[in-house]
Amino acid sequence: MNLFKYMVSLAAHLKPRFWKAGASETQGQILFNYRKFWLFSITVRSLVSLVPIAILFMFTYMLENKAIKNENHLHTVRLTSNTRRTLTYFFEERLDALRFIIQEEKFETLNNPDSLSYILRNLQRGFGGFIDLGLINESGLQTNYVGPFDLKQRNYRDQKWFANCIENGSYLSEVFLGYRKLPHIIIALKRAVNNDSFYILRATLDIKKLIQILSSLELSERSEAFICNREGRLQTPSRYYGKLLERMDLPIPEFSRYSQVKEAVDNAGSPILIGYAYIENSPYILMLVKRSEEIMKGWYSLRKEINWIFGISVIATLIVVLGISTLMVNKIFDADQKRLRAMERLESSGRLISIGRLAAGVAHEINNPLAVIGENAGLIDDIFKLNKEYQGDQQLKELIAAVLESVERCGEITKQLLEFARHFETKIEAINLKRTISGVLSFLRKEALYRNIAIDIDIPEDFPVIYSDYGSLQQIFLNLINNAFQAMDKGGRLEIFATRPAEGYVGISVRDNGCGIPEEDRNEIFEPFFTTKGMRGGTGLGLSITFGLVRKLRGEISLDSKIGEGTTFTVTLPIRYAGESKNEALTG
Amino acid sequence: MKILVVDDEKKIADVLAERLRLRGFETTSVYDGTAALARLDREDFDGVVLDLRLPDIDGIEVLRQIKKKFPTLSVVILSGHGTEQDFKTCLKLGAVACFQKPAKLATLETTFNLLQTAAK
Repeated sequence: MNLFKYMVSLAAHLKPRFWKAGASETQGQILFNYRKFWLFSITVRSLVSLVPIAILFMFTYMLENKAIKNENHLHTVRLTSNTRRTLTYFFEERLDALRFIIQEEKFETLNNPDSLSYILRNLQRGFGGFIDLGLINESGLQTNYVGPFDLKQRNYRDQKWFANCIENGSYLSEVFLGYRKLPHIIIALKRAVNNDSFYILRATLDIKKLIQILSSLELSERSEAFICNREGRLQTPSRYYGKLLERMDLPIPEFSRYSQVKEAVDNAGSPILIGYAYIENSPYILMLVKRSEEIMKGWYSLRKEINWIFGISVIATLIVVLGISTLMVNKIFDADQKRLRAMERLESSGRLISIGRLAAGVAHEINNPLAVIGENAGLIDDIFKLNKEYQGDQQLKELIAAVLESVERCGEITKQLLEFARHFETKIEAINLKRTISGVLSFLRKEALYRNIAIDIDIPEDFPVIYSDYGSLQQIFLNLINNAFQAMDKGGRLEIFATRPAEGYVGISVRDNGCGIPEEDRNEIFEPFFTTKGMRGGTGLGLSITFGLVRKLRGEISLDSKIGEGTTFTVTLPIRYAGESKNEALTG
Repeated sequence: MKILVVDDEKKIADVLAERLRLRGFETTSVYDGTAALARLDREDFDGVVLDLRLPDIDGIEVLRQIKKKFPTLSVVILSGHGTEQDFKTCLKLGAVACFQKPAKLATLETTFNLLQTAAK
C-alpha cells in the first residue's frame, strides 16, 4: 500500500507539468520550449548513460562467449586425447599379449587344441574381449582353433589381412562381420621360423569392450563418442550419425597426428563441435561429437542473466533519466511560471501605483482652480441673494446653482482620488473579522432589506483573530459589499465566507449572484475611474481604493467571476501585519 | 469678528474675504506667509483662514509661528494640497479645523460662528 502510494507520488514527479504549456499557449508567453528541451535532455542523457552500458554489455557478451567456447574446445581436446590414449593402449595391450604368447609358447603348444584353449581362457580372464584364438600356417590354413565357432581348417590364404600380416608382421583389422555375421576385430601376429617359414597367431576381439570404453566417457545427453575407419564407416554404434559399418553422416576429418577440434554442421544443420583423433597403428579415427547448443547451454543461461541485468539497468537508467529531466524541466517551468506571475502582478500593481500618483497629482492641481471657481460662483450667488436687482431672476440663480453643484461634485471626485492614493497611517490592533464584518453590514441592513437581498455570513467562531488596521478593513468590506449590492437585482443573495488560503493568512470572500464581470474587464477593474455602473453614478474609485487598502495591509485581492452567475471577491490578509507595506511610496 | 484670510491665490483670498464680509465678518486678505505674520503683529484678529501652500513660508510653519505668538488665535486650515498627514500635523499644532478645497463657504461660516459663540 505504501509502495503504491510511493509509486503514485513518483509518477506525479515524472509527469511533465509543462507539457500543455508549450503547445496551447495562446498569449505567446512561451519563455522556453519546454517540450523540446525535455526531449533533448532525455535523449542526450539516455545516450550518454546507455551507450557505455551497451558497449560494456557487448564486450561482456563477446568475452564470455569466447571464454566458454575456448573452454569447451580445450575440454573436448583433452577428452579426445585421453580417450585416444585409452584406445591406443587397449589395442597395444592386446597385441602385446599375443606377442608374449607367440614368443613364450612353442609351436607345438600353440598347435595343441587343449593348450590353446587354456591360453584363450587365460586371455579372457586377464584382458577380456577375446572371442577366439587360431593358429594359421604359412599356406593360410587354420591348423588350430579354439572358440565358439567351427573354423578349424578354414583357409585364409586369399584374404587381405593375411597378406597384410605377412608383410607387416602384425595386423589390426577394422570392424567387420565376417563369416559369423557379428561385428568383430581381428588382431594377428606373425612369427618367423628359420628363414622362409612362419606361422600366424590370430585372435578375434569383441567390440563390446570398445563400446564400453567409449560409453564410459561422461558425455552429456546429445553428445557421443564413436569410432570410424578412415573411410568414414562406423566401427561402433552411433545414435545420431549413421548405422554400424555404414558411412557416417559426418565428413571425414583430415589427418592429424594430434587430437583436434573443429566446428562443423550436422545433416540437420545444427552446429556441432567435433573432437577427433587418428589412432596410431590402426585404421581407426576416434570421433567425439558435441552439440554446440548443448555446449552453449551454460552460456545461454548466463546470457539470459546478462540480458536481465542489462534490461533492468536500461529501465532503471531510463527511469532516472526521465525523472531527472522531468524534475529539471518542471523546476524551470515552475520558476518561469512564478516569474511570469510575479511580472504580471508587479505590472498591474505598478500600473496602479503610478496611476495613483498621477491621480493624486491631478487632484491636487485641480483643487485650487476648482476653489477659485467655487468661491467666485459663491460670491456671485451671494450677490444675487443680497442684491434686489437680481433677486427675481430665477434663471441666473439656477445657472449659478448648477455651477456650484458641479464644483462640489468635482471636489468629491478629487477627494476620492486623493483617498485612492493616500498613505494611511495604519493602527494595528487585534481584530475579530466576524465582528468587523457584522459592523459593516449594520450600515447596509436597511438597503438589503429594501432591495430584498439575503445575506449569509459563514465565518467560524474559532476563526483566527488577525492583527490589522480596523478602519481600513471596514472600508474594504464596505466597498466590496456595496459593490456586490450594485451588481445584484432585487432578491439577490450575498454570501460572506472565510477561507484559510495558507499558513499565516486568512481569506474572506464576498460572493454575489449578480451579473458577473466580463472577462475583458477583469484586468481593469481595480483601476481608478473604471466603472460598470455607467449612468447610475459612482466614481469608479471604490475598487481602486479597496485595492490600495488591501495592498496597504499587505494582503491580496482576487476575483472570480462568471457572467450571469455572479462574482466572488477574495481578500487574503496576513494574520500578523508586519512593518510597512511595499506601497508606502504611494503618498499623496 | 475679525478674520485674516491667507492664500497664495489672490482670487481665492479676495473672494473668500469678500464673501465672509457679506456674512458679517470683518476680513482682510494677504497672499503670503510673511505678510500674514506681519499683519498679525500689527492688528488683532479673532481668526485666520490659512492655506498650506504659500510662496514664501510653508503653511505649517506659518501655523507654528502664529500659535507660538498667539496661542489663543483660532486658525482654520483650507488647503487644496494638504494630505491627511499634513492635516493631522496641523491639528496637533493647534489648528481648529482642516478643510480640503474646494470647501463650501457654509462650513467655514459655521465654524467661525461656533467659535464666536464659544468665545462669548
